[in-house]
Amino acid sequence: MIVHKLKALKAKYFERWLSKRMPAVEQITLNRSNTFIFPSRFGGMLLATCLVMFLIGTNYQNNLILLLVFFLLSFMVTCLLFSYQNLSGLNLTAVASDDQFTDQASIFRLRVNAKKGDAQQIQYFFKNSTSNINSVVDQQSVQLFAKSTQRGWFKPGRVTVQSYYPFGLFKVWTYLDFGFSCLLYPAPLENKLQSITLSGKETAIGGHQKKVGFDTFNHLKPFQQGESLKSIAWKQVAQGKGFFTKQFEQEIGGDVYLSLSALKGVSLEDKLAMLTYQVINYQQQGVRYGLDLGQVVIKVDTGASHQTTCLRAIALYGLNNA
Amino acid sequence: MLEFLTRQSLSLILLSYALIMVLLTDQLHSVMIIFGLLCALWRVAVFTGRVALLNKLITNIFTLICSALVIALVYQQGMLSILVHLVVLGFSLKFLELKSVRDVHFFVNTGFVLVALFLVFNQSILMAGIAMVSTLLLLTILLSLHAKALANYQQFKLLSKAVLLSVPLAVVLFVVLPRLPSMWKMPLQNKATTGLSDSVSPGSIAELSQSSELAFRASFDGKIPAAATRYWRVLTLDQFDGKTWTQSSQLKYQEQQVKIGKGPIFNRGSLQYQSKNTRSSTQSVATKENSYQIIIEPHYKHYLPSLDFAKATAGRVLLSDYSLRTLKPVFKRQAFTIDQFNQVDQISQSPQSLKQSLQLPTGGNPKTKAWIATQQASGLDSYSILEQLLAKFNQENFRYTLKPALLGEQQIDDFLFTSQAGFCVHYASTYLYVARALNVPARMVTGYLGGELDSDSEFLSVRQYDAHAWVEIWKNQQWQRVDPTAYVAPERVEQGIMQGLDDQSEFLSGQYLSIHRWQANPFLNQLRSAFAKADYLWAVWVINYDNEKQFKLLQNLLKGLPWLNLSILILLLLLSAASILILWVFKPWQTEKVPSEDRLFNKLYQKSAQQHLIREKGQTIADYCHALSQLTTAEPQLLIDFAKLYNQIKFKPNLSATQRKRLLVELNELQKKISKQF
Repeated sequence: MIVHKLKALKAKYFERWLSKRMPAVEQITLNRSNTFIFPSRFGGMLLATCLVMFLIGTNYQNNLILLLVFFLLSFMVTCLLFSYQNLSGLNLTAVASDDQFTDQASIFRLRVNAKKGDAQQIQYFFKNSTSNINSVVDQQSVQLFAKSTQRGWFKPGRVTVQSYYPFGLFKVWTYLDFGFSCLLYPAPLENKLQSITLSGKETAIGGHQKKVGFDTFNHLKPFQQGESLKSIAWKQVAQGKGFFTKQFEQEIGGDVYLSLSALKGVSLEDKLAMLTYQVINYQQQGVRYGLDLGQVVIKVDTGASHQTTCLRAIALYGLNNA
Repeated sequence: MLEFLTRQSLSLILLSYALIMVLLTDQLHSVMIIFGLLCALWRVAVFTGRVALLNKLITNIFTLICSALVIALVYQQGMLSILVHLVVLGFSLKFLELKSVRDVHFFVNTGFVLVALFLVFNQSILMAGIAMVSTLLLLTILLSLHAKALANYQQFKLLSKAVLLSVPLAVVLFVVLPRLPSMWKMPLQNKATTGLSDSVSPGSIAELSQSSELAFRASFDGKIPAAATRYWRVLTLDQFDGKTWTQSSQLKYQEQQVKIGKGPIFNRGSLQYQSKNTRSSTQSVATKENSYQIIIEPHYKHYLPSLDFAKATAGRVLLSDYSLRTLKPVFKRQAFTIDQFNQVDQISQSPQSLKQSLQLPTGGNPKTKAWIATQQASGLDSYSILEQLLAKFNQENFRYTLKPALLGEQQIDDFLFTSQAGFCVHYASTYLYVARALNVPARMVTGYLGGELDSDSEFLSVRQYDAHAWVEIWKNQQWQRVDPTAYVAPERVEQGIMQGLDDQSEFLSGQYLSIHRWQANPFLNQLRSAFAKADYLWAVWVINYDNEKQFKLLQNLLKGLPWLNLSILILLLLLSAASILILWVFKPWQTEKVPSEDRLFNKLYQKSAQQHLIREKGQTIADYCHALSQLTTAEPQLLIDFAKLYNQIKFKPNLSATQRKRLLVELNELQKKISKQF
């Protein structure tokens, strides 16, 4: 119990120390002041081996063994420099991340800029790892993955950048705070609650609006160069009336209001997940929709930015960090 | 199971495993070697997917059983052998069950320890080179794990760079760090010893003559003695059973005393004896004639070859037969400095030892006895008869050969009257037999004769094929050397064994690869002597580098630089090695130089970014300063001036150097002013 508390205390102080030493930045170039370096577990093992060999060499008064020990120690010093050099000068820039859903790992991106030949074998992951896959690294960018089941603003925290290059003798690492955050929408929950949303609140302007489409024939209009030959009214051509094209149109569905209060019998999170599903669904169908969340009401509209507004409102519903 | 190793890593691991096992072959029990081979086969089969890795429980049980077996197997050979076998066992088993990077790490570490253990047994420059190769291989394994993305040539480049950069520091550490004394007694291996053995029968030295292995090297402070006088004494044999010459119980007792570290006690005893009987010899004090350094190859015995006559010094014992012993066995290439005296003034012979020098098996060899009787009948005295024998060797059809016919029961008879072909032991043995039969005290001495000078006449290399046996007879109250071989093959004494042989193809026959067999080829000869020289310097300066040499070397360095003292010198050496390393890795002269105006801006920015505003990507300095001027407590005009001045310095064409300097000073002042106001 006490150990646990002490650990937590240590973590807290370490976090405080870190945030003082390396505050949140958008861009950072790694150097002496922001990287740590220490012999890796293997490096420690090798040091122990060197001690054993030193004892053998001294006791047998064997200069060659001592030479081997000195060489390995000196090699470790060289490796220390190499390891540091590999990471130093690495320039990382955070890229603003899009809104994402809770059911999948959120992606955060870093732009990587390194000197030629450096920055080999670097691992990137969030210090508090939450995802199975940590990162995907390519030449100039890194995609980091973090997972949260909580909708709303998601802060994955500090990014660990570490490397054991080139001989595994040293670990060079740093914890970088890029101030990463992204808005998580509830994961869409599939449902067929259309009828509930088509309630009395619906403004019945819709239902009669038409737009150019493919469903029903409307009228003929004079042929224009470039129009599809398939739509030419050949009958009229045969009758000698000249070239016309057939015009079709389709009906737009009725405007809908999605209402939180109309959903009953499920938990709030499920309700929000259902709303998310419907927002996406209607946007895909091209139906105009509005959203009523009680405190927040969004008027009927359509389009990508409307969808984003609605989803954000759902994601932040009832949260005070809006 | 997913194979985490790349083909490259696995090949490297296999290769280094094989190499290290080969290196340790001499130290390993044959069962262990077979086990190692099986391990390698199994691992390859795992890699190709034919068999699965063993599971943990089985491996653990297996390990326990194997350890017990190994200990049982090599228990007799002493602690060191057990240690080597256990480490090899761990190495093999780890190799068998490589499952993760951590296993490979363990494997590599164990590999280093094994290379170190290999160096306990082998120290020549060639072996050190091979050890270095294995070390590099082990490091390459690491590279193949931790720098996978690099192409092979890049890995090679990186490794060579890292190794070369590590050398200066390693060398400085080697040179300056003081050597500590042994902290505790280390176990030694009860190893099959090489070189001369303590019994000689016709045949045993012939075997040695087939070996071109180095026995020791010697360099002289004074003049190098002529080849024909370089009799390196090692052992005296004074007991004959009709076939084999061995040491008598007296001598064996002395050897035993040396082994348990009680050598000096014996010396005292002999001194007492001497003071009672032969006062005359104490009056003539021995004078030092020469001094030489011997670098002896490990033979795991106490023998120390010496020229007549040596004295006992610290750590060394002189036996009653004038041969020199070390208190500790020679288990590594070791250097000894020995003074040569014109006579031995301490030890004279006790009546028992003289009596022992007359011992002969009863009966046998009737023809020889008859021959002696004939000679005696003709009125010759004992010494004349012995001279007759030497004349017989010289004048009759005796041959010097390394491949003599086998002798029958009556060895001496057989040799003297039938085969008449043999090498040093045959002649010495026969001469001894006759001498003892004539009541002349005589003993056999074995050791080495001659040795090859290097091209610059700096040092002698004495090889196992230089092994020799000769005779000493007691005459005029002292032991006198007689070498019967010289009467058959004087070339053997003056030039070496190859020249001494009647049929030179016998020399190192069967060793076609031995470079020593091809002494006629001038190029190979040159190569051989160059290599011998390198190996000699290696032995003097690396293997036997000790605190004394270190002190001398540093003193020599200091002589040229009187303002230095020792500790500063050491510090300087270390620092320079470290700075070479750092400069080479970071190459500060290659980093782009930041223009002064940018440096000044960065100074300003560091403060402003922390407190106020972070510069966006693509934002010009003027824009940034403008935006900053809205936010800070600093005078807005100062910031705008700063931006203007900056742009002037940066972009104004035809700015002369002096103007530029002036503007920079101004910019610096502005920067300071603004920073203060934040």
